[in-house]
Amino acid sequence: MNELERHVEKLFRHQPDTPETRELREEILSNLQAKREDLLAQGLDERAATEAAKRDIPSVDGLIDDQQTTNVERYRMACAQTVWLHCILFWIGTLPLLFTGYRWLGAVGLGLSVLSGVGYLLFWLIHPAMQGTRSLAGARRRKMIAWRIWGIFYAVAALSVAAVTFGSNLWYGTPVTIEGPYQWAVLASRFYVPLLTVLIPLTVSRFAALLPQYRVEG
Amino acid sequence: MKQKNIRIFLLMLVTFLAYWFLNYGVVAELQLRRSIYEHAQTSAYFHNIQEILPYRSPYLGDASNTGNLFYHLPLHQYPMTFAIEPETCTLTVHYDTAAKTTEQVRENLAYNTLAAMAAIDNLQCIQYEFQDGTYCITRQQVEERFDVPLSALLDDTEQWEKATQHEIFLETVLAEWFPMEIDAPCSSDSQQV
Repeated sequence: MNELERHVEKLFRHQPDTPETRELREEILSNLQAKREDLLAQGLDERAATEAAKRDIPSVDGLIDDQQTTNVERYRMACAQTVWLHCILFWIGTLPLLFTGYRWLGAVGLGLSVLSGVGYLLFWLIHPAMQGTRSLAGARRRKMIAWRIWGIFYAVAALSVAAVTFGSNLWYGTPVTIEGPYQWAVLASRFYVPLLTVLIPLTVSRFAALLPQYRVEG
Repeated sequence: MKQKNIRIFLLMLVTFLAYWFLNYGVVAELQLRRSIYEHAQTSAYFHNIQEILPYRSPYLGDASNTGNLFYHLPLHQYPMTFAIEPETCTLTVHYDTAAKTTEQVRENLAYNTLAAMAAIDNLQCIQYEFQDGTYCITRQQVEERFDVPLSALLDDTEQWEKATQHEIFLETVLAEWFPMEIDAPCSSDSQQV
């Protein structure tokens, strides 16, 4: 893969793999190659010609119609299934906490798994056939926002836990003493509990990844 | 999608079984053992002396350490407050209960007295105040019963158990240190902590 092919690959990294995007990708690659040949003929060296050709098309966001005709019924079912699966993963994540003061989170995991499972089952039984348009860019934007919010949340939560746990040691300059594996587990659980919320941005990311799979052709 | 549904359902089933086993099997068993152990810590006959070793101190003046010591000894389940009289190195433990209604109070007081005097080197006298009277015991009275310095008893757990948790020790010292008839308060000239 040469430099221009890598550039085009990068441009289409977040685009769905559809006949239209494949065609556009080929077209952009041949245009860039032609541009580079042209610049080489004008006397530029190979590196400068490649860089100039890459600068010509820095993004394809404006070239792709991001409104996608979608089988909304099946897409929603896939999203509901994802929620159900992620609730079970959350529940699995709470199992080690049964040995700590966060034992109640196991019951929360059980409740969420059962509720989301029942919700999915109802959706499975009552699913009106529906088609509609969905924005791929909108789904990507929601994914990005979800990760940013979660990143900020976790940073604040982890810093708060660190401040509460080690604040007095830092303030008075006393050594931190953690005795035995149980104390380590209790300390780790304080950082681990907010980490479990990572399933929220993962769910939103999965929604964005599922959308192109439910595209209706024509 | 149906295949995936079956796989997810199986995953949920396995998770449920793991949750049930851990929550109602392993964790419940651990909690039961913990509660049995904690109950044992309320009796002089079964108390684990290792619990108080972190609170050994040469001085009585560290009120927080002294409080923690008593919170890890029998009778810790009863509400108590402490007072220290620095001039005479006297510790007053005030229990918000009557001695006659407190379970195995004399045995536990005998055990606590020896543990506290072994753990705090300059503790000369302990007063146990109850709603119905006060017991006073001095270091001299305790030391008379042992050939070794009291603090040395805590250096070896086996030696400690031989010396204290044998019923003979508790029974023989009870009549002398903690008679059935409880006295009137010994002194009230102490500093509350």
